[in-house]
Amino acid sequence: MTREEYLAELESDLVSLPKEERDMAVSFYSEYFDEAGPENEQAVIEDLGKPYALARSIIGETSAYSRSEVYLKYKESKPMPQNSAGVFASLKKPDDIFGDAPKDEDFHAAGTPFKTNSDSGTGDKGMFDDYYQHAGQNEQQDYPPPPPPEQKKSSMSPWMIALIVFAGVFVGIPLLCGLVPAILAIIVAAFLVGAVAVCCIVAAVITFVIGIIRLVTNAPVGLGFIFAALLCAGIGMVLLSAALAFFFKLLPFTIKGIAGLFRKRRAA
Amino acid sequence: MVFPVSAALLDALVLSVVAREDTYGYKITQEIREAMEMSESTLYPVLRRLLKSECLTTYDQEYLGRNRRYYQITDKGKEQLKLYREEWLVYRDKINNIISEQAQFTNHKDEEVNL
Repeated sequence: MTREEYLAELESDLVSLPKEERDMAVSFYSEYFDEAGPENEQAVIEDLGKPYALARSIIGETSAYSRSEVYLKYKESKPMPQNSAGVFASLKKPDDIFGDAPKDEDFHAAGTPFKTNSDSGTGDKGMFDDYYQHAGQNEQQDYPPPPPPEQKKSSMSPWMIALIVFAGVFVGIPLLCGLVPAILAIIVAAFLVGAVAVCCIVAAVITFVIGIIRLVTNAPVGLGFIFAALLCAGIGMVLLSAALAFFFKLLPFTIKGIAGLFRKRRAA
Repeated sequence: MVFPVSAALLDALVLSVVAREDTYGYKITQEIREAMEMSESTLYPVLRRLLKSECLTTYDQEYLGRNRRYYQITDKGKEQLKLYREEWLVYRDKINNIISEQAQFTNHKDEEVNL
């Protein structure tokens, strides 16, 4: 990526900023490239990170309140507190050290995308390295998020509502007419499968008994009966478990799902 | 650098650098980089913040046929820097009292006098 490409990409990523702010940021980095000289162009690009990430850190900063200002206001409103050293604290839990350190969570380095790759033993290695370096850290912690670029329109036009109602009537009703019998048919079918399964098992038991009796008089025929009985029992078991699974697992699950759907809709 | 740097500390550093003499973005970055590892993407948000809170102003000057934007500290910035310097001394001493080997047996009476 060349400097021109980088700056162009940065500019397009800053599109949510007012033009004046955007131009300022781009001209700042353009000047930065000038100062660094063409021989350092690639190094600067590498250090700045992806244009998108850089844009995020700029947008986060420009839309946020000024920390300095907030701090000044704080100072004006209160006499200098004894433990005000906490302002500079950037430890995870400054309160542990500074006790009643005032509001210092407001002043953490949340908006400063610092390099972590040269840190020794901070644990920010591997995949996090990349995140911290490129994504910037301004999305973390207490940083006030930039305002949403645009708010959703809360009121729909009456035409839209009419369209939805029409769609509901002309698509929903036929769908319902088709779906209800289909579901009933599936339930009936499952019942039938269950009945067949029970029949199979009963038949298997009878055949098995006959097989045992025949075994004494005619061994091959008896074995045949027993074989048929076992086969029949197997089929019966499979069908029965399928039917049971349908009635005790799938059906309640589906009903719950549908009920949940309606509940959600009512809530919304 | 092992220790993360807070936004307030960055403000203090940039204000200090600019307070010495009017200077431009690249040079500020280079100066702060002498003290700590700082990404080149860090400075701009800090400058924006300080400009917005009217601690800094800018003016443009031509240099080698192109524009160079200089940053200058305002009265408000000076006031803010003064505050940061006071805070820094307090913070530095407190941290030092906890962290450094020599300071571990500090006399508590001395400490009270210092504060």
